[in-house]
Amino acid sequence: MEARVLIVEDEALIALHLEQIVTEAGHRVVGIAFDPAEAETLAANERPDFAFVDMRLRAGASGLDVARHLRDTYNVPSILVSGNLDGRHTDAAALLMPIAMIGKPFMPTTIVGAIDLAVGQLNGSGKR
Amino acid sequence: MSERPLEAVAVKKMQALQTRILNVDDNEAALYATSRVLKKAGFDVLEATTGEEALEIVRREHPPLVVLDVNLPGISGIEVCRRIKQDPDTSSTMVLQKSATSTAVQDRVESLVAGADTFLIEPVENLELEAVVRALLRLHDTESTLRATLAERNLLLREINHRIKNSLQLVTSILNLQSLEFADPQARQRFQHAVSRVMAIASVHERLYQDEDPLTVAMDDYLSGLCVGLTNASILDPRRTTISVAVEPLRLPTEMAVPVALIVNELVTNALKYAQASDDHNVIKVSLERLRSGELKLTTSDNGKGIAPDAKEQSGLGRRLINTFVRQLAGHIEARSSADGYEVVIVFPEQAVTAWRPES
Repeated sequence: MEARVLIVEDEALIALHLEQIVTEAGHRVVGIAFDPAEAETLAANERPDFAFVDMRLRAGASGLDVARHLRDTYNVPSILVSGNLDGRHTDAAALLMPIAMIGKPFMPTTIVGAIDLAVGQLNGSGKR
Repeated sequence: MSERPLEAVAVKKMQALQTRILNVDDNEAALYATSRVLKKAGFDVLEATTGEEALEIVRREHPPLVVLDVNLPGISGIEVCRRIKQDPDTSSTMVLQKSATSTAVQDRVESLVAGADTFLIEPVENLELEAVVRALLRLHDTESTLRATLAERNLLLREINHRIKNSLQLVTSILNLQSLEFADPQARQRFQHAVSRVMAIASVHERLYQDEDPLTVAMDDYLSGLCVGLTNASILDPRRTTISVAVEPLRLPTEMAVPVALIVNELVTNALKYAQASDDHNVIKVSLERLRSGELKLTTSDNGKGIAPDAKEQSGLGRRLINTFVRQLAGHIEARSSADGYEVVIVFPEQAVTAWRPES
């Protein structure tokens, strides 16, 4: 099954890298959003199956808020990526029931593992 | 410019600077006398006549100082002091305990043990009371400045950690993207080796700062993660390859953890490479244990049968890296090849690990 993936990440290089890993794993990236507004537009137009969301976006925007909005409004679950996986952050993030939480710097294989998990959940939920 | 009487300006200034002090005494006359001294000295005085009332005001108003009589109806002044100091929300409040009756050494000691910052025996000269109050407020000021600075430092530290990890992510992302540019599979594989070495170093930062001790790394987590990453990255059939990591729950300082991880990275990469060429079920083992001598023993082994010992030798950069890291760790290395497979044992001294204390 080819999943449709949204990437919400404001570091161009990291976004490209995620895109490469997703593509190599046989899935499709429907768009890269640098900020919450772009994430909103892409989610509305492209209806992705799941999203990679950086927990901290430029100009103080919260990736957690984006992930919450994607889930509540578009039923899009997230894989959270963060350079700050200390207790306070993970507690707040866990409430969102993300597919996975991944710390930076990540190993490509960790991303692939999370994608497999996401695809497994999609198949299980009968969403597609 | 409007002209304002100097006096009004002075009053205004005084109000802005006025420090609040809670005065607690069940004896009306004593309460009044102490309040008068404090007000005259320019303080804004709150009053309470019972312990319960005092605790409520401390929690609500957060005065920097409480002048607290020992003998109170209901909960005693000493117990009030204990509760103020035990509640993290109010523990920075200074407590000046005083009494005219409970003045024995035992009483004074009990009060100080409960957390009082000083104990005065009444009657107290007005000037002395004011001087002691000001001394305690100075301490309180210094302490709150230190607390604020510490909080700011912690915030900065977290911010820097975040940036380090983000920058390392940029480095590994750019290397991974670059690896696609190699048409020659052998060149691509060599480049992948470089990427994997960088990842081994970078991934230590993903594990640091996750707990209270940012200077040492939990080796079981670190090496397990590293080996899982290496196995997944290789194109081995997972049903034919088992990698087992047995690491004692021990922490090493980062400057030791990174060379150990790089050695494991080289040895496991090598073992995976040879496992790929064999048809048997491959078992790769990595272990790190503390010997009775206090030294640490790192072992990697595989059951790669039928491969000539020579072929197992690390070639070129890999071997040089391992040998140099072993030297850096002041250890020694031994490689054994037998019919059962290939084993590398590295023994190195464990540095005295200075535990990180957040308070220090």
